[in-house]
Amino acid sequence: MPTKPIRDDATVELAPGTDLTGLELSQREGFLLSRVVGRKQTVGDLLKVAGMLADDARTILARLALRGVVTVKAPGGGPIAEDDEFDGMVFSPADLGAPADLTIEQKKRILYVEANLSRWNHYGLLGLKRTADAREIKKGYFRASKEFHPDAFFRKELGPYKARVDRIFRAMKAAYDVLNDEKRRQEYDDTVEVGLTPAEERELRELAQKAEEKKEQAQKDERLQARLKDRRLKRNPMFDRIHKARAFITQAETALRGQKQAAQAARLARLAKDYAPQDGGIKARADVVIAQANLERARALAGRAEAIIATYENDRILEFVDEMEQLAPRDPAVLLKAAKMANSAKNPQRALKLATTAASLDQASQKAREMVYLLAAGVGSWHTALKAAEWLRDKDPKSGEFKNMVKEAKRNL
Amino acid sequence: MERVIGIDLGTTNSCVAAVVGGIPTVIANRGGYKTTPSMVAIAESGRRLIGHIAKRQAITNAENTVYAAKRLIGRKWSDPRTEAARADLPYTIIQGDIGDIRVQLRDRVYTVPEISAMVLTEMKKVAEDHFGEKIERAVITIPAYFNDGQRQATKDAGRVAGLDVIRIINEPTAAALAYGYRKDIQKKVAIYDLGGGTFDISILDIGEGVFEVLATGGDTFLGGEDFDRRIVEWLVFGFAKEHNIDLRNDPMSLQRLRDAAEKAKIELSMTQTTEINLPFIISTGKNDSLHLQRTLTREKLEELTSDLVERTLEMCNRTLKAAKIESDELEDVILVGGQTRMPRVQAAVKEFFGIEPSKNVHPDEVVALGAAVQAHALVTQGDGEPDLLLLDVTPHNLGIMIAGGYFQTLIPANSTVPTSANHMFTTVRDEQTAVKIVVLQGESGVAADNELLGEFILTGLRKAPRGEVEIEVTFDISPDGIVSVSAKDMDTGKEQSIQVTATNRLSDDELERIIRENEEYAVTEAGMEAFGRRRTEVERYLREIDKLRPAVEELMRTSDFGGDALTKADRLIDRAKTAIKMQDAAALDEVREQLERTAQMFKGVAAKLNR
Ligand SMILES: Nc1ncnc2c1ncn2[C@@H]1O[C@H](COP(=O)(O)OP(=O)(O)O)[C@@H](O)[C@H]1O
Ligand SMILES: [Mg+2]
Repeated sequence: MPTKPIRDDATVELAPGTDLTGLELSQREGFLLSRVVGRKQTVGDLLKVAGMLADDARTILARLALRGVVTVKAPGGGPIAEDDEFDGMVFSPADLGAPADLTIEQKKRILYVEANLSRWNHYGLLGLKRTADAREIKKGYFRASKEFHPDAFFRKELGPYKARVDRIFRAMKAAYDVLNDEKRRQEYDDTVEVGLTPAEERELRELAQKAEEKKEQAQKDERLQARLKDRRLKRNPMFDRIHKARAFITQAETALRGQKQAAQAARLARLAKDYAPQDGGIKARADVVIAQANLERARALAGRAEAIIATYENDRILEFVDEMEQLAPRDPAVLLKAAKMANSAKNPQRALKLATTAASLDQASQKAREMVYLLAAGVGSWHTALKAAEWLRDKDPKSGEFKNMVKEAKRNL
Repeated sequence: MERVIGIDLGTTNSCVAAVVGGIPTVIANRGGYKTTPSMVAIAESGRRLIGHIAKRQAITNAENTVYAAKRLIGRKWSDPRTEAARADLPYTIIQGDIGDIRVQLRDRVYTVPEISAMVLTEMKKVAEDHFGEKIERAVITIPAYFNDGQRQATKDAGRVAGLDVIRIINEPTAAALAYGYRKDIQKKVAIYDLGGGTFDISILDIGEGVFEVLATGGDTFLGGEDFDRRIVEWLVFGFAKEHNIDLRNDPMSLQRLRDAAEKAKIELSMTQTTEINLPFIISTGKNDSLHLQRTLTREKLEELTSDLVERTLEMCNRTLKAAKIESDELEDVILVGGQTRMPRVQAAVKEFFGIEPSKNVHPDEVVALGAAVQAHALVTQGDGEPDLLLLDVTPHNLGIMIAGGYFQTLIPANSTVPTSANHMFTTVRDEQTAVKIVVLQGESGVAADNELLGEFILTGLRKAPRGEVEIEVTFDISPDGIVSVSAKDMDTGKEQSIQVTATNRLSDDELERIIRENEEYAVTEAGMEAFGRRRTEVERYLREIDKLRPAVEELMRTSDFGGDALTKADRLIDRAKTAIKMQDAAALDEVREQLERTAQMFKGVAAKLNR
C-alpha cells in the first residue's frame, strides 16, 4: 500500500504503553525500533543512525507508525508526510531495482499510475476534469497514449514493466472509449460515484492556494499603501509645497471674505502660486483671489478719493491714480474716481484719458460723458467734447443744458 | 543510428523510402525509377527476373510471370476469390499442402510469400545500393483491410527476404503519416486509396503528433486491375461477336490485351478517346492472322466501370458511419494509388465528400514515405516524448464460433490496437480434458462466412465435473494487427497450452526451408553474375576467331600442321558454345584460357599475312 514518506523534521518516539515483548518484528524493524526506544528525536536524526537506506527506513517507520508502535508528530501538528508528484507514494526498492530499459523517474511514474488504476476514475486516468469537452478528452487521451502506448517503449527491454505499461494503456483506452462516446459517458456519469479527479484536486488546491495568496496580497497591499502615503507625506518635498500652497490659498480666500484684508489675501494667494507653480487648480484659485483683492483695494481707494485729494500732494495723488488704474483697469467707477483725482492733481490730460476709458467701458453712464465733456472742454479738445455733448443731448433731448453744451462745443470748433 | 526503410509492397508497383536527415525520401533504383513493378518471372535459364525486367518480358513469357501476387497472399485455396483469380491469371496456381495458394513456375512450385519476398528483396537491394550498406530492418505496408492471415503472410515474406519487419502498417495510415509528418496539424482527414488491386478508405483524426485512425474499410479485391479487366472483357466480347473467337484462351493474346487495356485506361485519364491497336492478335491457323482495332472513349470507359467507382463510395459511406462523423467534419481528403488519377474517380470523391481532394501528396510515393516515417519514429523512440504516435485500428471483427455455428464478436472492428479481450471457456462434459476454440475474423454473424484464423485446442485440462474447469482465453491484437491467443486455467492460474490445428500459415520449418533455399539461390545468383562476365569475355574471343578464320584457313592450308590446328580450334569453339548454352561456369572457365591463346595465335598469323 502506498504511504507517504515521512518528513525529516517530524519527531518520533515509542508510542506510550507499547509492550515491546509482545511485538512480532522483522529483523530490520527490530533494529530500527531499538534506535527509537528511550528517546525523542527527529526523523532526520533517526535516519542518521538507522544504518540502512533512508527510503527503506522511512518505509519501515511508516509501517511501525501504522501499527501504532511508534508515534510520529510533525512540528506544529501538520501532516507528517510531504506531498510530491507521486502523492507521496513509497516505491518498493525491489520494483525500482527490477531490470528494465527505463529511468528511475519513468519507473516511478509507471508504478504510480498503475497503483492508481483502480482508484482513479476515467477522468482521472486521462488527467481530465469532469467538465472536459470532446476536444479536451481527445487531447488527454493523446497525451496519455504518447506516454503509455507500447510504441513509446519500442524495442525497449521492459522486464516486469511491460505488463504494467500494457495494463495502463489498455485502461486509458477503455476510459477514452467510454468518455469519447456521448451516450456511454452519460451513463458512466450517471451510474458511477465519481470522486474528485486528480486534475480537479490539483485545481482545487491551486484555487485555494491562489485565494490564500490573494488575501495575503491584499493585506500586504493595504499595509504598503499606508506606508507609502506616510512616506509621501513625510518625505516628498513636492508634496510639502503643494500642501503649503493649499494652506495659503485657503487662508487667502478667508482673508478676502473678511473685508479690508484684500492686500493680505492677494499676498497669500501669490505665495500659494509660488509654492505650487505646477498646480493648475491652486493657480486658478489664486488668480481669482488676487483679482478680487485688487478690485477690492482699488474700490477702497476710490471710496477714499476725496480724502486722498484733500490730504496728499499732487505727485502722491497721481501715484494713487496709477495704482487704481493698475488694480482695476476695467472698472468704470474706479476709473472715473481716478480721473477726478488726476484732474485735481493738475493732470487734466491723464484725467481725460481715464474718463474716456470709463465711458467706453460703461456705455450707459451719463456721468462718464459729462466728465469727458468737462475735461475735454477744459483742455480744449472740442472734438471729443462735441461728441460727448451730442451723446448727452441724444440721450436726453429735452435738456436745454445738453443742447447748450453742443452749441458751445460747435462754436469753439 | 541504424538505417531503417519503409517499403510499399503494392499489388502493381512497389516503392522504398527512408528518412534521410529528417526528411522522408523515396529511393530510386539504379535506372532512376522510383517505383518497381511488383512482378516476378522465371526465365528459361531458371533465373529470377524481378521488377522492370520481369515486366518487359511478360508478353513472351506470360505463363512464368507473376503479377498481382498480393491478391493471393495469405488467401486460402478454398476462398471463392481464388477460383475467380485462377480463371484470370496467365500463370498457374495450385493448392498447397496447408490449404494455401501456390504458384507453379516452370518446374518449381513457390509459396506466395516467397514470390512477394522476391519483390521485397529487390526493394531492399535498391536501398542497399543507394546507401552502400546492409539494411536489415523495415516497415512494410499492407492494405488496411487485410485480415490476420494476409498480415502474417506478408510478415513471413519479409522474413524470407531477410528483413526484420519491425512493423506492418496499413497503407492509408502510412499515407496519412507522410501527409501530416512534422506539420503540427489538427484535423480530421480521409484517405482514399485505390491502387492496382485493392481499395482502402480510412478516416483519421490527427493532432499533437498523434495519428488516430477512427475507422477503416475497404475491399482487397477492388482496384485498377478490375478497371483493366472491364476493358479487356469489352474487347474480348466485341472480338468474339465479330470472329467467334475467345481471345482469353490464348495466354499471350490475353497478356497483350491486358497491357493494351491498361495503356488505354491511363491514356483516357488525359484524353477523351484512344485507339487500341493489336495487330496479329491471334493466328487462325492457315497462315493468316486476325487484328484487333477499336476506339475507346472516356465516356465508354466510365460507363464500363461506373459500378466499381460506386462500390468505393458505398464503402466510404459505411466507414464514415463507423467513424461516427459527418463528412462535413472532414477537412481534407487525400487521394492515394495510381487509379485515383482517373478523372471520374476524382470527381466522384470530390462530390461524395464535398471537398476538393488534396493535391499535396504524390499518389505513388506517399505510402512508402509514410512507412519510412513510421520506421524512423519507432527506432528513434527515446526517453522523451515520442515525435509521432500511430493509433491504428483492427479492420475486422475478431471472434469465435459459438453453438449453432454462429459468430460471437470479442473485439469489434475499428478497435484501436494493441487491444485484447478475454473469454471464459468451461467444460461441458465431466472429465473433459480438451476444449476446441475456433477463431474467426469477419463481418458475418455466421461463422462459416467469416475468415477462419485457426482452430485452437486447449489440452491437458484437469479432470473435474463439467463446468468446474474454467479457462480464461485472451485474444490479443498486436500493433501490427496480428492476432495471438493465450489461455489460463482460472483455478490453478496455470498458463494453458494451445495447439493450433487449422491455419494456412506456413510452419516455421517450411519458412526455414524457404529461407535456406533463397540463400542458396542468392549464392547461385552471385555465381551467375560471375558466369555472365566470363561469357562476355569468351564471346569476344569467339567473335575475334570467327573474323580471322578465313584468312588463317587460307594460310594454313599450305602447311602440313595447319589442318590439325584448325580442327583443334574448332573443337575448342564447340566446347565453349556448349558451356555457354549449359551455363556451365566450370567448363567455360576451362576453355577460356585456351580460347584466348588461340585468338592470339590467329591474330599473329593474320598479321604475318598482311605484311
Ligand atoms: N494515369 C492513370 N490513370 C488511371 N489509372 C492509372 C493511372 N496511372 C496508374 N494507374 C493505375 O493505377 C494502378 C496502380 O496503382 P498503384 O498505386 O501503383 O497500385 P498498388 O499500390 O496496388 O501497386 C494500376 O491499375 C494502374 O493501371
Ligand atoms: Mg498502393
